[in-house]
Amino acid sequence: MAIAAFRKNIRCQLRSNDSFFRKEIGCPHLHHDSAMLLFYPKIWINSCKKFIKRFACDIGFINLSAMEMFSFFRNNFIPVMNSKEFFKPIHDRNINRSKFQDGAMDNRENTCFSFNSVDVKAAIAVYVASKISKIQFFIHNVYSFTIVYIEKEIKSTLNDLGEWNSERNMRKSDLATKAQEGDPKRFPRSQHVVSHKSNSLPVLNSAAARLGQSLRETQDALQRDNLESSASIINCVGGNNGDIPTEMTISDVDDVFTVLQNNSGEYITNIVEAELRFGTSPIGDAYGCMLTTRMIPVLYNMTGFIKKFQYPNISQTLSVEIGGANNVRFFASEQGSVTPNASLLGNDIANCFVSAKEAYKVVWQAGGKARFIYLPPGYNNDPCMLRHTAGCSFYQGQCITNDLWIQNLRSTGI
Amino acid sequence: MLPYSFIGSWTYTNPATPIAQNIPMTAKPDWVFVKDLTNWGAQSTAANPIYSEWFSSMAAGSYLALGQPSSTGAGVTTYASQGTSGGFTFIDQTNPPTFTKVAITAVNGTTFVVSTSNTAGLNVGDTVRLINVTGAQQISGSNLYQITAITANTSITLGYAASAASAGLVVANGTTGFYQKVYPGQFLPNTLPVAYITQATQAVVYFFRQNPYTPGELVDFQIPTPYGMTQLSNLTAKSGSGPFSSNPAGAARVLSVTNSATVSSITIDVDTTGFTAFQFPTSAAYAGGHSPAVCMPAGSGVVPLNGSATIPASPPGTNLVDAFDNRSQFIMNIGLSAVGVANANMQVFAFKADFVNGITNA
Repeated sequence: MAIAAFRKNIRCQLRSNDSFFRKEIGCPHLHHDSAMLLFYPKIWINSCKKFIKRFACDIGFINLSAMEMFSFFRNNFIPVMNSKEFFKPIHDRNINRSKFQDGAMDNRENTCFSFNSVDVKAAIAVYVASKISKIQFFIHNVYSFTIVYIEKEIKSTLNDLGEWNSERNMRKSDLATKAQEGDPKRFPRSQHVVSHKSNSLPVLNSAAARLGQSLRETQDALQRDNLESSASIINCVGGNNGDIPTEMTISDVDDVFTVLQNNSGEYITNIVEAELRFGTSPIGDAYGCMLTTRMIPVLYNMTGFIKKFQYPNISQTLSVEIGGANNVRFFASEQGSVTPNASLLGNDIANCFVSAKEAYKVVWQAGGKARFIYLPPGYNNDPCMLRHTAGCSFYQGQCITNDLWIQNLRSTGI
Repeated sequence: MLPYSFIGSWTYTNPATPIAQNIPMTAKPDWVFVKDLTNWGAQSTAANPIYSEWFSSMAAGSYLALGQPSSTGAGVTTYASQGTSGGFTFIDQTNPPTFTKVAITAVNGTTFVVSTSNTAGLNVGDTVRLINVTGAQQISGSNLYQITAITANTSITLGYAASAASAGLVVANGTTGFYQKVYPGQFLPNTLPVAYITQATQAVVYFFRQNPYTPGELVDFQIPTPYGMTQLSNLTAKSGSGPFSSNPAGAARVLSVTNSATVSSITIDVDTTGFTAFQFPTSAAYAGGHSPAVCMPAGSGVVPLNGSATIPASPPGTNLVDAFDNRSQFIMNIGLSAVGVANANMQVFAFKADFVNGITNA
């Protein structure tokens, strides 16, 4: 947030020409005096400098100390200035941070500079303006501050976007302005909001949604493939379909449960205690089993399997949970792991990953989380500016933290 | 008009007996061609093909080719041909194609020569699984075997399994069944079925195909009771005082790795001389229901010095090569009908179109 605070009498004109400032403000009888701008620290220092430079040029003359002050506040010893220290002891006692509304001048550090001005005519680059959520002008009289908001807080035309474009390596055509109704009390007129076209293109939004789905599924698939390739293997042998492995039975569930118990694997979920409800059964402390939805018929045919809707209490369940059997609860996904034709008889095998707590993890690298990349027309061999592109990227590392705590219980019958 | 995007170029030199080539690519191409740089225009040499290509509108395995006969004239003529097998096959290793199973008539339990009258589409280095082999059910199912030799339409040799048999793996001869070509997952290091484990101060573990393990890596085992050497199971949970100390001390450390043309094995820092001998269950016993004996990655460890069981490398370090890594790629497989002639230097180019449209005239 940037704040322009004008001490004493001031007359400030802000022209619309190539600026987002639209409206003259101030009182005609007021005369020039010093003014002060404060920049919210999230504005890069280079942006601040450009802002000041542009201001200074348009003003015509400026208190030379302004730039010096700016440098001072940005020097190595005091990189940024605490607004409280600046206002209260040095300047008018009436100016203190309590006078600034909306908490704009709280204890956060701000960068400031001051200057003498007459008829401030500032053209401020939109790329700076885009970082300014609100402009407040404080006009000081004898008794108090009066707050005047410019009527159009952010007003920009596509012509204004040139600098923004050059800074962001984008073109004017990438951007759009949209009129929005302002706060009727504070911004009675409509304001124009500059946004990227990607925000308002339905097709692109749809693509973004699909990319998001794809990205998350890819993340899951990577972990699935990791477990599929690297987890220890136990074949189901309790069934009677004549294959190796057989279809999953309750004895196989108990076997893998025993293996994890022998390996000191911790449960993932706690017991679901019995309640006085018809048709329900309790569920023990359980390990989690992630498997393909193709296993649902096998599970439903398994003696001792309790469907989720037969739990005494389903408040602690996931939507993908199918049910439980003794000490294993089953979570199905259509993306679950299947190895085709891999059984003794050449049938598909479902890889059912039975996991104890903290058996595996995902390692994120700094900066490697999901990134949505949108390129408007004109990029990548598109000289006629015909095509948008959107993509997403991320990187992650898979890790099995303890090979004994994750077992691939393989089953046929799917 | 929009141009093709150039994916890249690759070169390879055919051996005296050409084999299929796998070309890694960053995208699925719409046009691939291969040129023979050695024999191109050489009048005294008959070569077929000297040029072959594939478009994405063509079926997998097909090709267009140009060959040149030996000639004595001023110029070299070429002749065109095409085919539907032995050409170009694009493979996304993350989602690889599946293949139909092919009948076999015998499996030698010692040499692991698998008799079959159909070896179409197979190449040395390919992996296959055996399905429902009568008399040798214990080697049927999910195990993947790597082919080390092919006698066309007669047999394939599973040399890695044969090496394990030489070390001690005992499997009775099998008769009828099936083989099926499989593209294995590329998420490495992965769990591998164990073919055989020696009883030695530094046990040697044999596998049915090339293994992904690296010196210093920690590996663990799950050996079901029918396989004997159960003492090697779940080493991670077994106490020990350190990586180069008393046996067993947590997961086993890989001291050395062998991945030769016919031998896939690792030597581990576990003394198995007092352990129960490793043995594959019989066919009948396996059919009664068993889990496989497997070796699985268990973490990074300190790299040993030249295979030493007691001395770490100096300066000590861990081996990042053993980190879980998805090495799936886009592969363009160039089959024997398109790969070029013996000893030829070949140049591959691949391109991707911005769009591919089929035009139907009214």
